[in-house]
Amino acid sequence: MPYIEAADKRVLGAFGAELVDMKGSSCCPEPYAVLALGREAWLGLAARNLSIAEEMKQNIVTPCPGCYHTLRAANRDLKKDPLQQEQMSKLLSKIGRQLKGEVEVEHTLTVLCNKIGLEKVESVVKHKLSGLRVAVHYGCHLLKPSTVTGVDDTERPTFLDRLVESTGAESVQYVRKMLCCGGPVSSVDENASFAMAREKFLKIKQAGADCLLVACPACMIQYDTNQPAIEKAFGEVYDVPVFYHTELLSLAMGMPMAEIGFRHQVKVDGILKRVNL
Amino acid sequence: MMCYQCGVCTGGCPVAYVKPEYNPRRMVETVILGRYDEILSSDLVWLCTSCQSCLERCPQRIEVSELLIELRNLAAEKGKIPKLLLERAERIAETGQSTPVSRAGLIWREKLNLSPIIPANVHEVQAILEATNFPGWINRARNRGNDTTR
Repeated sequence: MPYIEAADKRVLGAFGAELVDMKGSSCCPEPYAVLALGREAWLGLAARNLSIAEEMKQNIVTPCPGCYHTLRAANRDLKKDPLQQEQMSKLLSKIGRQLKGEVEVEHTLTVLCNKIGLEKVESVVKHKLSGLRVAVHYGCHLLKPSTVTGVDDTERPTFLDRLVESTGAESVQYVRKMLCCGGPVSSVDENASFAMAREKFLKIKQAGADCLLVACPACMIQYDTNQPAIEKAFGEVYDVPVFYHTELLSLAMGMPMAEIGFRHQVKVDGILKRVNL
Repeated sequence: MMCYQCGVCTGGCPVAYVKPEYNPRRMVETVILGRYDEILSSDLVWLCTSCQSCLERCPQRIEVSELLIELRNLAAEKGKIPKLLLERAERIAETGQSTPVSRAGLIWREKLNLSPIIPANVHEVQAILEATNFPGWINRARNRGNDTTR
């Protein structure tokens, strides 16, 4: 989803953050398939990615909470366990690499909230999204486990709500706010996966929100791209437009929708009209 | 492992909510009792979304989701891994990426003024995977056949 990359780079760039692409990085690696087959392989690929960032003398920022979780977990495992550290050093040296453990791993949202600060975010809002009622979905991997993410409150976090509110929109509370989107198991049990997403749609509509907001590409696919399929599977209509967090920010920063370039399965035109966009 | 079967894990599990036969508490119980064959005879272990709620909420700080990963390792060893996941692993082993970029995606990137993708260093990726026996695990999963498909 190139528009997610573009939106994240644009928003962070607006605050002077310079993002450079990693040289030759691979899949983080995706924990579901790789970790199931071999923990050492998983750690090895993650360590290689970390070493690339270290070589480039940069910290890692990723738009994907899954990658965020994988890289932070690998980072933490290596820092905590001298035996694994030694094992990985030997492994990396086979490809002429090393890892000293100097890299920090962030997500676009953690950079926005912790490094840049929400007050600064408010200052770039040119078009307030007043009247927009947003149901915020934190997803799972930005928050849990707290030993990996360092987040204080995994049950009632507030940072994404506050980010949404800094655009002038209202963050609507709703039941099942912390429910997983179900995305990861869609290739194993589509029915179960869709049932989890459906639960979220029903509760959001019950709360009277205009739209759903996500901060994860996988959640975006599940809730937006898959919405028609979920509607068909259950014979229901949800019509819940889904926004990506940096997309909403870009809109609030005054950028026209056509330039932001998100492709939405569920139409967002009605919502945009509501906030004079 | 000091699980006292309180069930908080199952109570907070999004999968258990929509599929009652998926029960983390029961899976931990089966592990404590050593009945691995029982758990591994079904595909349930692949249904964890790794949302980490169980791990986060367990009063005994048992890493339930990590336990499930170990169970998946055991299942994969026996060749019981969902076909689509095996294919994803093979793609990563061959290209370093889980999702190939389509031509449409590349055109899109240009339209959005994004820099060209720097490809993964496949040579390095494969060296790491060889050294950690990843291709061996893939072959074993393939050869043991019985890919669990939907």
